[in-house]
Amino acid sequence: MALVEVKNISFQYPNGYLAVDDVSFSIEAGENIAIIGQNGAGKTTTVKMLNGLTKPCTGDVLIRGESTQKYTTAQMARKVGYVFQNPEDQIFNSTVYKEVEYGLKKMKTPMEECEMRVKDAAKLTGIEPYLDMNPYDLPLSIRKFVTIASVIASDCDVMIFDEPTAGQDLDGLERLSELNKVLTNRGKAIVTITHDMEFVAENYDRVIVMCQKKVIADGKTKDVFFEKEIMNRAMLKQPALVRIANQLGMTQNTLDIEEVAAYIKNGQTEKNDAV
Amino acid sequence: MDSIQITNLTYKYPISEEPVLRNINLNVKKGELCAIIGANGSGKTTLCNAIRGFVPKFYKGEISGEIIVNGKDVQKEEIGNTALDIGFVFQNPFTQISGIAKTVFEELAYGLENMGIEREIIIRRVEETMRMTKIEEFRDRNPFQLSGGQQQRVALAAILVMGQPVLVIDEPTSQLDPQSTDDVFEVIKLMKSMGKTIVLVEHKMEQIAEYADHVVVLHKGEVVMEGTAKEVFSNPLCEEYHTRLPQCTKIAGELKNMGIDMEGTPVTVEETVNTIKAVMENKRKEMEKWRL
Amino acid sequence: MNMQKETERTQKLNPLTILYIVVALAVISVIYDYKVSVVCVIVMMLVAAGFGEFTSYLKLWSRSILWMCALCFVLQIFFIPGEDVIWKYGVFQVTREGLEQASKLCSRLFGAGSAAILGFRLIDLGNLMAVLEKSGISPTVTYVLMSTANIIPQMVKRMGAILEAQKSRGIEMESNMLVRAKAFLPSIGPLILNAIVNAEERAITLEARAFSAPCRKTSIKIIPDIKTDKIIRKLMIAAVILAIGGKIILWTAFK
Repeated sequence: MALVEVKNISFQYPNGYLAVDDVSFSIEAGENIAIIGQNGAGKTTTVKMLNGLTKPCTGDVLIRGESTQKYTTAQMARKVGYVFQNPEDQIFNSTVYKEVEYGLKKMKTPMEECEMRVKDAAKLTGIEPYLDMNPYDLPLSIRKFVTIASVIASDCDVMIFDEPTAGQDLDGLERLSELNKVLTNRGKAIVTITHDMEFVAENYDRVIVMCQKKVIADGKTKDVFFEKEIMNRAMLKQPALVRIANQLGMTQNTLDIEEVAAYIKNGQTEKNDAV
Repeated sequence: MDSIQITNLTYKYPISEEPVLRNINLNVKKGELCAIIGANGSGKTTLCNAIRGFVPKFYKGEISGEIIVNGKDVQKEEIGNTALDIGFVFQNPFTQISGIAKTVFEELAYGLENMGIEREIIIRRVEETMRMTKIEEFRDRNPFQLSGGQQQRVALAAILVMGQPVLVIDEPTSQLDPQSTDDVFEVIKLMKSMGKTIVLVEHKMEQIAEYADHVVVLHKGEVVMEGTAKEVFSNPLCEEYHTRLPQCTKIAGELKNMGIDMEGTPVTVEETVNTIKAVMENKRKEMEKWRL
Repeated sequence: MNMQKETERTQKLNPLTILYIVVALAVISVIYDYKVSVVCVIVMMLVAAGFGEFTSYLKLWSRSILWMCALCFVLQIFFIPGEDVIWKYGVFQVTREGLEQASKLCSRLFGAGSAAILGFRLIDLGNLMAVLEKSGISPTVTYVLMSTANIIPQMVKRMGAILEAQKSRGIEMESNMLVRAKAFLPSIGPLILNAIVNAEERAITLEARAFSAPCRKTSIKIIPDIKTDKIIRKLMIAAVILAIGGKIILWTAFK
């Protein structure tokens, strides 16, 4: 049984607007997936159904085999952590430390464990130097890491990151990439919504493409990115490496630059042999 | 002629111990699109605020050095006067909606009303700007009801309509999706074609490689590199300053490291493909010669 | 043009004139007793009907003012102590003094509240501000009023996002009152902090739009002020003076 099983979920607003249309996928523990697509494609509504913030109108979401329908979102928070797009929507404590600790206290975690988990989360997200500062004195990109640290500290099995890459510089992206690796090694399932295709190509083995409320592709990142038709339909740009490989006439799907280099070198000799 | 001349600019926020901007010297030519890049915290936004005069008038702190925009010393001008010379757009689409207008049309008109322009002229200019920036479809919508990307386009249009010759645009796309980013860059392209002098802070290097005439790298408050996109991105120092490179430049660099002898520094996919093809062709010829 | 059409449709009168009508009716119903208040509210209904807003006004009015007055009345008659008991059931009792006091207070609330709702329904705030600005009120004052009115719905929306974010980190909000009370700080905290951060950025937005440019502001709004407006405004002033005068005469006569 997969850690997360999404079975034919749909969501329609009371005003009749259909936001998600018959979406299914499953995620194993230790898996790291990206959900991509234009704004309005249904990405955020879909992930909101993973922690029960939005309850599907039809279909069901199972976390470790249990339906989210039975629990309130607050109860789900022990299993599914959610980092919102806008850090300002959740930060209210006077120091970064208190902010990260807040969820743990709510769950009545013992003191020593609290401290240990906060320190660990702060280290992973690189916010250790700011623990005593007021979160609102930090730049937005760091504040986002404060909210990520809160979720890491709560140690849930599934973590949802909504656009963590927005506004990040090279260092921020590297840190995200690093913490994704550490968390998946710990057996967490990570779901990331992002618009940064280059970041997806470099960091995710699996990608789900959403377009007009539906999943139109779900598979290995390298295979999906080479499906020009799907990328076009979702109005997404192929990463540069994919475009280059395509134009060089490579037939093998790859996101590995060494394979492209090998092709440039060998493709030559092969042609020569044929001559 | 230089639209913006910054000499020996150093600035420190009231609560910080270290200066955020250190001895900055920078000239931006008239009609030029000058992109400012660098890691978060390197002082990009503060530099934008300094050019517009919000630093130190709005944020206080200690400043030294000189900023001349269109021949006027920004620090000596009244903050309200500078609005007539310099347009300013920033990151957050939501807070850039004035909150006073019920429709996008009124939102665009607001700046001109404050400038005391006559009603008929305002209406004409707003119509014209809405057409050029392709936001006519929103004209009667409440600006708060628009998506982030649409709001950002409205914010750009609301500045463009005011007609200042110099525009400072700080990370306009960092909260937007790819389609909205392209839409915003369409507006920036339009501004450039109208001959505006533009200072743009942006993280998206593909777009910078495509549109910027002049790229400035900030690092810890100092200008550490300057030149055309090609000059800057081909400089190996870029990595030291934690600057993200355009994808193609990065790929080309890695290919070079893997022993592929590519010429120059491509910044677009086409250039990269052509350089690689040239390499392949050369090799083929060499091999043929060798066989013969 | 669309904008002008809309102006013609909803603004038969100058917004300042409507403000005069609303204030006059409110003042009259507040200084007299409930009979006059009821008459004033009927007049308000007629005014709303005159603007083609009868149904929408009635809807809003019955949902807000009517309920508030009923609740207030019930609370008052039971809790104001008095000598002269006119009705009694168990521990509950109604006194004549309580009834008098309650009807007095509720009639004021009834009149003033109904007038406020009428103003809210009929006056285009933007137009009113344009008129006030023209007559010399500081743009800062009108800006604060306007932006507050426009930004409140945005804050409500924001509140929704904050509640979602806090639920997602394990703060229970879907249970009893005590649980919800505990969630008060996490829900209101970000809203206030946000408002502070946003205020700074919005100040920059205003500067960017030449808010403090040293020149006379213009307006694209043309708000007609015709003879009828002037007559109505004078009539309203006269009505208020008469009403106050009448009240003073009644007051001294009965003393």
